[in-house]
This record gives sequence, C-alpha cells and structure tokens, in this order.
Amino acid sequence: MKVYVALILGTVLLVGPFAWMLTLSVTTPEGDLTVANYTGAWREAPIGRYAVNSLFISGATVGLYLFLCSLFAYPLAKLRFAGASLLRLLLLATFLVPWEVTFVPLFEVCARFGLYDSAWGVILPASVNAFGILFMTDAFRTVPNSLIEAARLDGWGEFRIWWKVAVPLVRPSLAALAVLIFLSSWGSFLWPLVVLRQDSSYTLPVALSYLQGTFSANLRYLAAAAVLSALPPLALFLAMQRQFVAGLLKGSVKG
Amino acid sequence: MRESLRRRGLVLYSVFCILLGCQDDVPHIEFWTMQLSGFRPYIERVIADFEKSRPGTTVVWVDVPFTAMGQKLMTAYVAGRPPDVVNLNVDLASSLAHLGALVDVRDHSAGYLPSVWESLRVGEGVYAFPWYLSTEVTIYNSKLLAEPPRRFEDLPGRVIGKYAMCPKIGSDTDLLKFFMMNGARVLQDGKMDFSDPVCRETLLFWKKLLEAGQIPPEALTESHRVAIDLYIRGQAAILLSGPQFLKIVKQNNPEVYAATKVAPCILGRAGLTNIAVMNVAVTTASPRREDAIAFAAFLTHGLNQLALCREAAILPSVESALEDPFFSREETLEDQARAIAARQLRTSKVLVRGLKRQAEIQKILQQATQEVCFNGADPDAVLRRAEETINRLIR
Repeated sequence: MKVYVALILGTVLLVGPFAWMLTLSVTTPEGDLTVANYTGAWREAPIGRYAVNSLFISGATVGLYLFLCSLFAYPLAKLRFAGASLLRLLLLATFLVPWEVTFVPLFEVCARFGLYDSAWGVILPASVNAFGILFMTDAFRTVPNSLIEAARLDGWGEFRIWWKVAVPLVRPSLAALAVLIFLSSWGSFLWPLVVLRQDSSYTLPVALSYLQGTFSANLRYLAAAAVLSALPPLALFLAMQRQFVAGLLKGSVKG
Repeated sequence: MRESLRRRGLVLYSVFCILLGCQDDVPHIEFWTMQLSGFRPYIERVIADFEKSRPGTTVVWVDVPFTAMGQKLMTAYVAGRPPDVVNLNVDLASSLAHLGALVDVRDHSAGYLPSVWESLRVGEGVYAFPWYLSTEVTIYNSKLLAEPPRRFEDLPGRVIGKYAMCPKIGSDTDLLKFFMMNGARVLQDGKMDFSDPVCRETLLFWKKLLEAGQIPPEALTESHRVAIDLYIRGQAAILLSGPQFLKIVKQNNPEVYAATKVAPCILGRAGLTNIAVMNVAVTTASPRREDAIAFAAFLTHGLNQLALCREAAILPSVESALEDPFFSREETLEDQARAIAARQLRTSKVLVRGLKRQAEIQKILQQATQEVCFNGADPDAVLRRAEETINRLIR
C-alpha cells in the first residue's frame, strides 16, 4: 500500500508541472479553451525553423554518438591490448572535469577549426563521451565470445565482426542510449547559444527563451511552445519504449 | 558498387560541411543586443540608416537571450572573439571594463544626461554609451490596495490578498540600493562600508515584513520575474518595476491589468529613486574600432532613442529626446507610467555603479540577507563580515 502511495505521489510530482503547462497552453486568461496560444507562439517565434535546426542537430549528434561510442567500446570490451586499463582510467577521469570548465577551451577549438556559428560546432563536441563508451562497453560484454570466435575462424576482420555480429546484438542498449542522448541534445541550451552566432541557426530551447522577451512575456505562448518542443522527444521515447527499457535492464540480470 | 558510392557520398558530404564551416566572413561590425528580437524592425532600420550614412560598413546583428549574455560574452572574450559593439547592463559593463575589455569613450559625452553618463565612469574612463533607461514606478492593484504608500515605512500592515509586495532584496545588488534609498553611503573611497546604522535598520525592516507575511520568502532568493509573477496572479498588491513591465501584466492577466493603477516609486528615507541603465559598449578587441564607436554613438543618439521609446515604455538617456512632448502624454496606463518615470528621472540617480566583481558581491549580500532574515543571525555581525569579505574582494 505504502509503495502505491509513494508511486502516486512521485507521479503527481513528475507529471504535475507538465499538466500545468498543458493546461496553461490551451486556456485563455479567462479560463476558456483555445488553440490561439499555439498559433500565437508559432507567429511570435519561428518555431518551425528552430525545430528543424534542433532535429538536425539532435539527429546528427545521436547518429555520431552511437557510432563513435560503440566503435570505441568494442575493443575495450572484447579485445586484449596493452594500455587498456590505463585507457579505461583516463575515460573515468573525464567524469571528474565538470562540463562548464571545458567551455572556453572547447570554444577556442571550435573557433580554430572553423566550427563557430556552424551546427557542427554543436554536434561534434557532443558526439562522444566517457559515459557512452562505458555504457556500450558493458553492453558488448554481454555478447557471447563464442560468436566472435566463430566469426574470426571464418576469417572476418574485427571491424566486420563489430558491425555484423556485435552491434546487432546490443541494439536495445543502442536504443536506450539514443533516447538519452537525444533528450540531452534536444534540451541543451547554453552551448548551442555560445557556439552559434546567427539567430537563424539557434535551437528550440533558445527560441523558447526568446518568447520571454525583455519587455514582454506571454506565459501562455511560452507554455504552448514548450508543449510543442516536448513532442519530438516524447514521440521518440514512445516509439522506442520497449527497447529503451530492455537496454537499461541489459546486464542487470546475470544469465 | 553501392557501398563504394555510399562511401564517396559520405566523403563529399564531409568536405562540403568542412568548407561550409571554414568560409571566410565578410568584414563587418558585429553587434550583440540583450534580448531585443521583439524590436527587429526598429533595430534593422537603425542598422540600415547607419550603413547608408557610412558606405562600405556592414553591421551584423546578433540578439542574445538576457540570461545567457554574460556566459556567451565571457566565453567569446576569453577566446578572443568578442563582438565589436555590445549592449550591456551596468553590472556586465563594469566587469568587462575592469578587465580592460571595453574602449574608453569619455570624449563622446555630449548630449547624454550628465548623471547617467557619470554612472558609467570606471576610474578615469567611461566605458559605454548610455542607451535606454528605466526608473521604477509603483504599479498597484486597486482592488487590493486603495492607495499605495509614499514611503516604505508606511507599507500597510495588512492587504487584501497574500502579500503587500515582493521587493527584490536577494538578487543582484539590490540590498545596496535599499541601503542607499534610506540614506546610507555604503560606497566610500572605493570601499564598502555598512557601519551606518541605516544598513542594520533596513535589513531588520525587511525581516519584520517577512515575518509578518507581508513579503514572500522568494524576495530573498528569486529574481524580479517572481515579483512580476506574483503580481500577475493577484497575490501581491504592489509591483515596484519599470513601466515596460506593464505589458507583461496586460498579456497575462487582463483582469489584474484592468484593476492596475500607477503612482510614483515608493521612497526610502533619502527620497531617492534608482535609474536602471542599459548601455552600448565597444570592445577593445574590435579591429574596426572607429566604425564601432560611430555605430554605438549613432544607435544612442537622440532621434534613434526617441524612436525606440515610442515602441516600449522606456526612457531615453539623451536630454533632447527627453524633452519631447511624448513623455508628458497621459492617455493610457503605459503613458501615465512613462510620464511618472520621466518626471522622476530628473531627481533619480544610478545608485549602484561601477562595482568590481559584481557577481561575487551579489552572492555575499544574498547570503548575508538570508542569514539575518531566515536564520535570525545578528545583523551587525553579519554586515561586518559581509563588508570585510567584499572589501577583500575589491581591494
């Protein structure tokens, strides 16, 4: 019984703000139902253009992230080579450095490589990190060694084994990682704002901040835009829900 | 075959992206504003006029959300890529001026209100052109309060509704502002001094109102947005704010707006009101310094400021613009608020200005206020400690 009360309370706490936002977005100040807040928000800020920017940046980030993290993770999980432990230690060490500390050097690197004011300046720095590599290392450990040995006996190279044998078997983990990274990239605010110059290339969270102008702020428009911006991640999560849960549970039960 | 085509496509796409990223910029002045995208036609018109008056000069405008300006600007500055011209508030301008990042424009003072111009002085130099101004007026809900008090000490013991007001005591350096509004001279010879009993009394005054439930605890922790939000929801009877914020009330609660009236700003014992200044600075890193200074001066000259004031309930920093009959018009609520603010401007001052390490000072003051008001700490000891910490910081 206590568990249910706790679960209900937790749900209310989590869903409450979203429900409030949803209510605000479909009502007038007088309390009547309306869709005018959605059309108004669409008119005030070019949400469509920002959504396309966000979709491109988040999509490319997820694609690159999954590719690079699983490519780095496979040898850590399945190959024996000198310095593997040191590499793992170095990866873990990156967790000790807060993201904000890397802001200025990262900006300088982006500027030198001509990535300032380019969507790639947002995508590339977020396209690989220790969390993804370690997450995928754990996932690859669950791939039976016998399958990999059999492929080697057939004369397959390690890259081909990784792509044709290992990656298909860790698909649920990839799905879980895809959802997590998409959400983080979709909601990212400060880095896109710092590295992108032209407001035409800004992302949705930045567009939301524009609806809260210096001299005006229509909270109902803001709520409508926030609901709209929550739809793509929500759709992605619903589409990948089963694989997401399976991916998170992978490795939690020893077979 | 298909695999090879795919590979070639990928290589071509990568080369295209790299080329796209590396394309050279056309020479231009880069101009950043603080969340003024709502005034796009105005800004674009000013830029077009400037470009016409100075052939061969191009201005690229970038609008930055208010809350992110500090971070974006500091990152760009440290990486050696700041904009040429940037719209700043007094705090940010002061921080950057102390870092030597802004150009001294002391020779361009003609026409600006002297008190406002002086407020931008840091040491010997003046590091920004004043742009638009605002002074606080008393915005009040006439259904909750028949008439607002003239002085803070006359704040009503009880109001209909939840709170009398939500003064911004805990964010920015507004505590210093309240000390000064009550007559304390907290900044003496570049040092902070809280020894005047007025500081202690001011702090205890707000503590008393907090304990009586007349002001919310958020007054000590949150920004001005919370004060606006409480007023919009009809939970606070008074909103001390610039006239420009009336639009937000109108947009979000027409019922509260209909009951809203305006009056001169509630005063402290010294009878002073504060001026909030937005300014425009030129960065020392700008390779087109002369053009950048010319643009900043053009943007802030009288006619351009007057045109901006017609679009938002703000005030100009140029004397000739302020004399326009537009600022004595009293047809709408916004007009009335603007007229009150314009009248107040002549007797107002920029109370807190030119502080080094503004952000850190803000944290020290916020902590001190919370220690006294929430934890019941001894105000004398807390103020002494805050004063010492700040003086060590700005030494």
